[in-house]
Amino acid sequence: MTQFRKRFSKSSLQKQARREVLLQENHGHPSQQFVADLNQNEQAMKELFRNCSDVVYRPIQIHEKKKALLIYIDGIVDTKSLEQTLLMPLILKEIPERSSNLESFDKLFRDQAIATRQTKLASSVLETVQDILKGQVAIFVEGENQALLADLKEYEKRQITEPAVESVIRGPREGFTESLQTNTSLLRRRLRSARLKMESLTIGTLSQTDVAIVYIEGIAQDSILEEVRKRVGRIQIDAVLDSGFIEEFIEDNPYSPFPLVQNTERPDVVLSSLLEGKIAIIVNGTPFVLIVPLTFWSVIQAAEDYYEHFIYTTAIRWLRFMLLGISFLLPSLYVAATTFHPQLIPADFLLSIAAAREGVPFPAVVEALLMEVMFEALREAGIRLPKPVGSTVSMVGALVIGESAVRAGIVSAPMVIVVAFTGIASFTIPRYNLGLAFRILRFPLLFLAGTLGFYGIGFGIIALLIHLVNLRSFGVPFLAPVSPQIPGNLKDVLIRSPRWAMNARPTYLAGRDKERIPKGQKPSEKRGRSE
Amino acid sequence: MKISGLQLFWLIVNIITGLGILFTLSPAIAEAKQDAWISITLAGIIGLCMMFLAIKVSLLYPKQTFIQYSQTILGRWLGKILVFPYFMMWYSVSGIILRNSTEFIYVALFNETPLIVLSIVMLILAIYVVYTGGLEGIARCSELIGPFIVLMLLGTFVLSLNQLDWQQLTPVYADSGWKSILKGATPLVAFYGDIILFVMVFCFLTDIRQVFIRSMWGIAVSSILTIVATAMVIMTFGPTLPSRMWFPFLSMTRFISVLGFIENVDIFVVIIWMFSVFIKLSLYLFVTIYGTAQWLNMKDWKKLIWIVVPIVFLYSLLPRNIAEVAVNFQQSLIPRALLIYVCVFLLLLWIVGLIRQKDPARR
Repeated sequence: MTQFRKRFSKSSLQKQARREVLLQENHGHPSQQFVADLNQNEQAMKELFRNCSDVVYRPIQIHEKKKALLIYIDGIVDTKSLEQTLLMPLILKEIPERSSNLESFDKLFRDQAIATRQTKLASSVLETVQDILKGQVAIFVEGENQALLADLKEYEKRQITEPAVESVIRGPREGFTESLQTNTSLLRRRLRSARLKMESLTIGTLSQTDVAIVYIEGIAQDSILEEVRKRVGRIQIDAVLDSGFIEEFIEDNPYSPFPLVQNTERPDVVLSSLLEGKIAIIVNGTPFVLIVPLTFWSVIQAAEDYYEHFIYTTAIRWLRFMLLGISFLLPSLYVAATTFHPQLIPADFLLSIAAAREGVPFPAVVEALLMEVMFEALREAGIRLPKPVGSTVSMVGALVIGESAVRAGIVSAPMVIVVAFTGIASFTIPRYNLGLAFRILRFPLLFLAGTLGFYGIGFGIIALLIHLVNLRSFGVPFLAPVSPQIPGNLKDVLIRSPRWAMNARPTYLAGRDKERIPKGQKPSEKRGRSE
Repeated sequence: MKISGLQLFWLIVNIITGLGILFTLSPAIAEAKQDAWISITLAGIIGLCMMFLAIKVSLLYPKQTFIQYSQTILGRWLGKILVFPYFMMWYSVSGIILRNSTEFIYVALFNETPLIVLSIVMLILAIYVVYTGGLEGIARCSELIGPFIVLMLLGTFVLSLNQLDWQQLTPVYADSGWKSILKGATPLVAFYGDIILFVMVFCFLTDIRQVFIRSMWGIAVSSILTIVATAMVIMTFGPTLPSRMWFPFLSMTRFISVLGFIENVDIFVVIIWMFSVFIKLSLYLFVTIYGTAQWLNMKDWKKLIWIVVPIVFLYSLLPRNIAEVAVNFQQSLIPRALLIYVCVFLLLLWIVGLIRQKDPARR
């Protein structure tokens, strides 16, 4: 055991060392400092940025007396304000004589000359390089051993558009974009409270990706928040290109087919989760924001549920439950019933199935697998195909699989109906990644149904149940609040209670601030009159 | 491993209702004829008393399991020796449950699949939940499955309403007499050995104050369901026919026919029963394993799974056929003697424990 621990600590030390080497390779030695010579500083920077054609070196003369050098990266700096706020004042405007050293330069810049968002002084090469890479402009002045960094970050962004995955009929239509700033602004605009906290950190030795942990103080539970900070903080990776990279590092059970982290493109979904005490993780460069912890029942909660009338929503939820069951079970039930338990099917129906199956060369389970694979192939093709050939695939799918295969007697018509209905049902699951889990699990269940009939299906369901019961997402049981049942939290599971009745936040998620809506707000004619 | 009061309730309902309705109706009706429902009521009351006893004993030392406090009360060696019959009961009943349930599935669903395959499938599930979740996992599963079992029973009751003949229940008492009624209660009481199992479970409760009300409700609800099921079976088939059936309740669900469309629903009943069997088997396995580990002073109880499970499996293979499982086991001498011993020992433990706790010198 001790030996193991020793080895472990050794390997983590090695990791640390390796990380530092990587950093040095990229951004120079951490202890390297600037000197008071402009040429040497320029050489140092050029050495680090060699072969980087997007780095711009712009020498200037400050009021024609002092030599200075601007270094920035083309394309991530706002050129217009660079000209207006830096170049023009430095070159053209007169600067008082007393500003002989940079300390007062800096003061001047901040007070009068430069109208940028943030300015700061840096003496370490590493820090300067990192800031330049983030879109700051570094200004070196002759005779100064420090660099002045002015924040002029500005780069091309995608417009805010409607999210493609979670579309609604009623409700806000703004979706997140790839820019972290835009995303946080989308949240802040909707929740004007100082209690909305955004802790930022940087992940990725090469990518230096900005990540923000967002929560509402007092509503998020401290223990969960601490766990999130810990898990996100210990990630060591070269680059983060999507929030999926983070997700795989912070999951509780990496081998479960079920996702334990939710992702969304919708600011309103993030905020409603935050208001329940959940915590969001925004990653720069992707519109998909992570939300933890995830519970199973959100599989049937769509964003729109909370904007439409609750009776209608409750009915839709029941429909979704049914469709979830169908998407998971229908092919297996069909196979088990036709293969092992034909007595279950009413006689007339059984006859028509038997007639349709006549001449089909495969047993039902093989037929089902064949069709399922074909359906999955069509779906996959639908995602990957280049847009211009879309009609080809749908034509082939509809004609060849739907029509010709049945006519040729390779598959039976009822099986086509079963598989098609299963496919449609699986599209109704509002959480795409949870739907994926059920999509995958359908196949082992099909095997079980093909070998043991209903007993096999029962086996599959119980095994799934045991797995789900044991899952946890950031310490919160995956099936909460149904198992373990937490009284008073069932207002948003099987039914969607009206807004005025959801008085408390979920007790298993929320921290100190439990009350959401004061009681006694049920609207009625009487109430309106008395006031 | 902690369970909530509600989970305890569902555990009790799951464990006592499912197999109880399946296996005890036939012998009860054979003895007490149309008054079998009175026998079942009686058995329910006895069940409540047994639960009361089990709770009272466990509350003497609420932080300890039965194996632990029997040693606290009686001393180390005496405690260890005297609880041995409990293990005999738990091991044998685990095996019998496994055999019973697979026989049931065999009769109801498959007549060609080998019994061993069905047994192993069930055992895999039980091992999975005991190994990964322990008691907490079992309790959580039962919390999810329990409502379905009750709904299934209620649904069967409602769908069978159109076949009922109230006259079948009369005359009350005249045909049977108290002796047969008492005799009719014995099969179900024999099943209530399950109640004693909970002496190992109570100490895992998060809030021990809930133990009394939740357990009593559990027994009460499952007794009421069993009583209604008995009455309905009698009203459907009359007083003589069910005694010749293996599973009268299942036959009743086969009779269901609504609008000529909802027919042959017995398969769903069987599957939901499978859930109930799964809970019962896993709880028995857990208690047997955990109890054995505590008896042997082992810290890592999970290792014992690989010893206990083969024993249980082999034991389940011993009976030759369903008659031996369903009839002989429940009505033979040894299990009944064990049950009586188990209850008397608990009573003894309670008395000695009370005396010891009152006696200031012994503290």
